Amino acid sequence: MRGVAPFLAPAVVLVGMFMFYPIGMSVWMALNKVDQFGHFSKFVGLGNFRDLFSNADFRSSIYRTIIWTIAVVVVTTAISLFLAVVLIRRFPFRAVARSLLLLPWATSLVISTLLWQWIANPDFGALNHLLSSLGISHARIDWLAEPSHSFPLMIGIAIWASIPPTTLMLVAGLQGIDASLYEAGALDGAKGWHTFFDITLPQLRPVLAVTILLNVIFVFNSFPIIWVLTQGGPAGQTDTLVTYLYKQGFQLYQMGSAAAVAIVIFGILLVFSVVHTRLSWRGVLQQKDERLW
Amino acid sequence: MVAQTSLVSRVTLYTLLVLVLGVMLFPFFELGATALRPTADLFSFPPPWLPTHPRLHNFVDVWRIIPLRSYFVNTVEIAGGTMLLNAVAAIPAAYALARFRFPGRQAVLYVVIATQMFAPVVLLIASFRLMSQLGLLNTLWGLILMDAATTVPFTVWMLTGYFAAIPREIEEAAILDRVGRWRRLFDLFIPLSMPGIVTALVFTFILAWNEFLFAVTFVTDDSKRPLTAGLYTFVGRFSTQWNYLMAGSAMASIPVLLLFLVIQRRLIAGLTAGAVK
Amino acid sequence: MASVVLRGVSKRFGDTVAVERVDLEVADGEFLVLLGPSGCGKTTLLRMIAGLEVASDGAILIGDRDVTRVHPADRDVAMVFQSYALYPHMTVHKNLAYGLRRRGMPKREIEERVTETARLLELEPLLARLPAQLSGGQRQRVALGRAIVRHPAVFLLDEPLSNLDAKLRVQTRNELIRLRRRLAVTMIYVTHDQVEAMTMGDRIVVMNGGRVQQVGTPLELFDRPNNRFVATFLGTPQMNELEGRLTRTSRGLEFVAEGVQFELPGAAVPEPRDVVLGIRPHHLWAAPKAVPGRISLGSGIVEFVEHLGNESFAYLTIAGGHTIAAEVEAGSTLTLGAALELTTVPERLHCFDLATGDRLDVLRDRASDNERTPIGAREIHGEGAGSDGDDD
Repeated sequence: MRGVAPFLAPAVVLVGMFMFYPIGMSVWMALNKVDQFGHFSKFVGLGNFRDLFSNADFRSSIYRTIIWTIAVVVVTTAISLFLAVVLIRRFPFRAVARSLLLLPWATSLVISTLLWQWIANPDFGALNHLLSSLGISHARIDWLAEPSHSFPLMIGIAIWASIPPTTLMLVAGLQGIDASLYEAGALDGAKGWHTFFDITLPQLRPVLAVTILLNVIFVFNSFPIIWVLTQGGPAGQTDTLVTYLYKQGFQLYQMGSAAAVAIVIFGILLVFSVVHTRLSWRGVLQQKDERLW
Repeated sequence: MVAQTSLVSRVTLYTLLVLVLGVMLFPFFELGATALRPTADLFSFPPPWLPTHPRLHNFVDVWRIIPLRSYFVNTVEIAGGTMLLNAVAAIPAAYALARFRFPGRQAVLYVVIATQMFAPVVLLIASFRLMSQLGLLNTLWGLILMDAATTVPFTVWMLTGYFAAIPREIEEAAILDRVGRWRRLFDLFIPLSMPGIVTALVFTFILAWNEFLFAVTFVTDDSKRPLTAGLYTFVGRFSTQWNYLMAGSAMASIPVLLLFLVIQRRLIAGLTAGAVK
Repeated sequence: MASVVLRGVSKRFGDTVAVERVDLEVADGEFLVLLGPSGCGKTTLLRMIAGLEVASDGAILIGDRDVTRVHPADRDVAMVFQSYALYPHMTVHKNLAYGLRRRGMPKREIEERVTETARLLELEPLLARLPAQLSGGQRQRVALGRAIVRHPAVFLLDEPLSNLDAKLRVQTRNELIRLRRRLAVTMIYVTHDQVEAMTMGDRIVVMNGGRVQQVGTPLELFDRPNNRFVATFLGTPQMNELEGRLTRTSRGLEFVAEGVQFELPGAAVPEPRDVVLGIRPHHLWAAPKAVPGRISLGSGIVEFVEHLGNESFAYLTIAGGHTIAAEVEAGSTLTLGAALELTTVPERLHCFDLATGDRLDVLRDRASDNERTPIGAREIHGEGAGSDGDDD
């Protein structure tokens, strides 16, 4: 059909130049040694990848990224589900509660992280103060010094930041469930937990699938939290693939290697997306057939 | 819920809700409290819950201590530019995808959905190199182009949904009325989808406002820094002035918070609509 | 005003044939109705005339111009959509004026036309309102107005009354008829409602499965349906059907169905044929006693009776299990289970080939084809053919 081009042109040019071209370039860069000025020095084929995978720090950052993602997404989804179920009921100030929940989402992740950095200040931050006031721990916990403290804290911050969008999307999903399904269930004798597992959850599957997918992608690629608090340290012990990539490119000036890390990230997420889509669509299709009865 | 849950369950439920909300909001309480503390009280031990001598003037002084004005102006320009580029690129593209039949249309739709999964991180290295070659490092335009490129697919996706929802017969009536495609877009589709368009564009404004990764990577010249990168580097340099940092952060967040409140309901509806399709 | 000619027009969507080789000639100023069930292709055909669908084969001419490949806006046609398709964000005035503005008409002329059309359709008090503030009937008039204001050569209407409630529909129908007389334009009207078609059309095109079944005036279609589909589609209650066999006898023809048998006058059939005999409920009389000298379908048991106010119909089961509907005296107090004799006259029988559904002209004398034999209650009861008998 003639004349489509002018409509698509600006978008195609913009996205083509600044998204697709860089992706293609990343692939090429990953196969070369590239310095911080973008000069290609040597073609090494899969050499960058070989070097990466033989590096213990890189391997542990893959492992750590997966742990990070699973921990954040699972806990976020669980808490958000709970919150959504409560927020959909009628109670005074419900609108206020829902609006207040927006705060962490509306705030830039950097600012939120800086805020948490202050709260986690060992001497003057509110976190230790709170813990000792509640009698939980009177120790002067240096949250950012040890990975055994900083990593859980950062996971907690990521959960804290992911709950609002997930909760609000699940609320919207719950609102979309046909009320007559609950009525039919009540007549059939479903109560409490049964209602939730047999009626609510299956109907929520599509929305849940989307929130999980979006969360996994977003959390896997999360940069500000870890970078601001620990820069992946000390000594790379809280590195995720993202911070590892950043250091490779902008501190070690190994752009080719950094590009290789980017390709690895992309590959892992691609596989996940394909698997996830196949699983969730198959489930939805099955549901559709059952509902014919 | 049809059946009435027992009193015990309800009390537990709402108590837990209050607890969770408390954890969600506590940092902001701390934000406000810290922003109001005079520097002298910042490092008292144990830290007081409420500032003993709240100092509103912090909110004025911070503009001297941090180049907030410059950061604000840069951020507004970057976010505004991103929003405008989105409008120019995404609106016609979404219209074409929603209403025209052309070979490859399905493919383009799949690509649009797929690009949502390209995280900025994957693009970082190569786009840094590209910006360097184009001489766009340390410029606002570099960030605008990058932010726009990464948000346009999402905007196209949302707007395609809105445009497709307009009844076919209205467009056919216009065709019979001798209304050409561009005119139909401006006279019909845009006015009729205005709420959706505003939501999507304001969302890209917010995304660009809060963007950190590219801002901190592409820009080293402080005069070109937006709020996110600016506040971050402030911590590095002036690590003890948390009260001013908090005051600055609060002010940096308020515009976005207000915009967010306005669009949030329609935004979530748009996001979940795609899911349940 | 212009004529419309369709020659061999077809439309295919992938493997599906929506419209198959339609040949049609619409006279200048004629009101033509495209009638048929959902999915028969009538709307697709209309849209091809408008240019909103491109014909896969064939030619479309408006006036003397071949418009098959011409842009819809340049065909000089205006369309009233089923859902009205008013521009929701424009006032009634703007809705009417928009098309004219897009064509570059001078402002004064636009104003004249809009005022004239508004007056014609009684839209003047509504000009500043938005479509959302109008009732269904008012929106429909604006949709009409938008078409009228263009002064097109051909008006195309796609089921404009189907979104209105029953009472409004009748009202609007009459308004349309009056309007049509005033405007004297060529109108092509799509509907699935046979009452609309019969009351409004100069000629009706009955369609089914993408094919034209028959074209003719309402009375032609009613009295001489070309096939089973047209026969059963028009007329309420639906025409009664009896499947059976027609054979030649020494005196003429004999019809045999399950439990039913009678003789008919008529031309001979070369060999025995499986047919469907059709007889409209209006042309059957149910009475306690059979009428001698007429065709009798035998005795039937009343299953139920429909009272429609000025007419009543009894549904009877006759031998062989067939359910037959017959007109009875309006408001008659028939008891269920009563037995009645059904009689009719051969002039009112229709005969269709069982296999093809096509009409078989074996029953009537060729000469009396165009005669409309009046028939009424008195007649059936043997009081002679009176010219003051009821028309159907």
